[in-house]
Amino acid sequence: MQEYALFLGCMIPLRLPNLELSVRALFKRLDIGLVDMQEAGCCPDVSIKSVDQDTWTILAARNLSIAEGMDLKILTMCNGCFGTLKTIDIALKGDEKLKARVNERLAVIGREYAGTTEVKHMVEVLANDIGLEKLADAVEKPLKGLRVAAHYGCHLIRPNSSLEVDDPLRPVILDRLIEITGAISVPYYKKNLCCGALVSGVDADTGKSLVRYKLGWLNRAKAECMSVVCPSCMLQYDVIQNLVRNDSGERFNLPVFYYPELLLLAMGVEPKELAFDMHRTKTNSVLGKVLGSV
Amino acid sequence: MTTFNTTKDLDAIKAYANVCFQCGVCMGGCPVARVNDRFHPRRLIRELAIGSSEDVLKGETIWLCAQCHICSETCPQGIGIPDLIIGLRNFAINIGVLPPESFVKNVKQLVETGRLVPPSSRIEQLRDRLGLGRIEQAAAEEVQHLITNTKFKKLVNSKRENQ
Repeated sequence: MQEYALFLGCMIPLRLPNLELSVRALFKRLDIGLVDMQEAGCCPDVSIKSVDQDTWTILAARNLSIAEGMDLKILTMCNGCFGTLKTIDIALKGDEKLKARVNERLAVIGREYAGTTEVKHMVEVLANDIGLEKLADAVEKPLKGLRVAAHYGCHLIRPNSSLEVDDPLRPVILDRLIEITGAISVPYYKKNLCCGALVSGVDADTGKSLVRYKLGWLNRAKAECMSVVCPSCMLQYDVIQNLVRNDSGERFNLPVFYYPELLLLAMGVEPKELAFDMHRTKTNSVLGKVLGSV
Repeated sequence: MTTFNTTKDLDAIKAYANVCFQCGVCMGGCPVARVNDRFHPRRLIRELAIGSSEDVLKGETIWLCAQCHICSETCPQGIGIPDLIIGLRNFAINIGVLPPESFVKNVKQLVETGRLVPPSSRIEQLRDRLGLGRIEQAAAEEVQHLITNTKFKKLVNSKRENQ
């Protein structure tokens, strides 16, 4: 059985464990093993990079060394974790001096970075390693006609110089994944707009305005729900959505799904197995349509 | 990836800003600038190149960047503006600027637990209800050993003194 080292990160296990549930359920069904990375910590995220890039680098290298010890490639469930770990892995693989400096520090805790693992976002594992055809074969209850808006987030595809997952401005990988569920990936304006998770912590109004701006375009595109692949995007749209109103002063009420949840529904998994009650924006409208009744 | 040795190299950041010819493509694609007129990437680069870097370092602007990297993918001069801003943030902290509270909170949490979100009995109950195992410790001691930047450590203490 194929296996990956599962990098949990912070937000998913400790704030949105229902997303972790969906990933574990999905990969179990696909017969792919996910092995937890013992003692892995924060990736760390852009807030730590903002404070000190050296600390950011060394802690990411520590996480990478854990997966190397398992002799497995890393699977991340979050754009932030992916962006950090892959950026540092690529930087270390291309810079012997940096690698030597990092290893000097890692030696203090008895670890070493060798450059033998690879960092993948769940989306890449699904679309490229497993492949769209195999996933399509697993779909038993196509989400026929469901209008889904793909939201890529930023650190899955940018900066492209180190991440190289897809076109950094016109990506298609998530659209293809949505289409194999039988749903329609709706085109919409401002598809690349950032969710604003990082800036929300600095200026909450900026974060809210970004959420409101994107949701306005999704309404115009007649999207019935959104699909995200990152817990930060999930929190922004699912939670902050309830703090903003549209131009007519109404609530948006646009359900937000983490992509594995959508695929599991299409594979015929019962909604009650996926803890949709943990979503802050009600998902009933979509679940009703999927199940053929409300 | 462009990195700056931020403790010494503000001049390198400024030289990097100097290749900007002020076309404004960064501004056009910037999500934050669209909704917040206090953030203006083109003006930030200009100030850095010809203005007072002290004003830039002590101002709010550098902390408002969302790090979405749209500008770095579209800049005709290939300026990695988000990385440049990270360099400025690092440098600002090194000269004693206190970053916004959300950053300080994350630093403190990272040092204490090795993660950015603290474990709690509520989350453990929730994980239990979902049939997920207990969340494993992140070996905070190892993480602490690896953090050698004194300014980074000082941020943790500054927060503690305020409590």
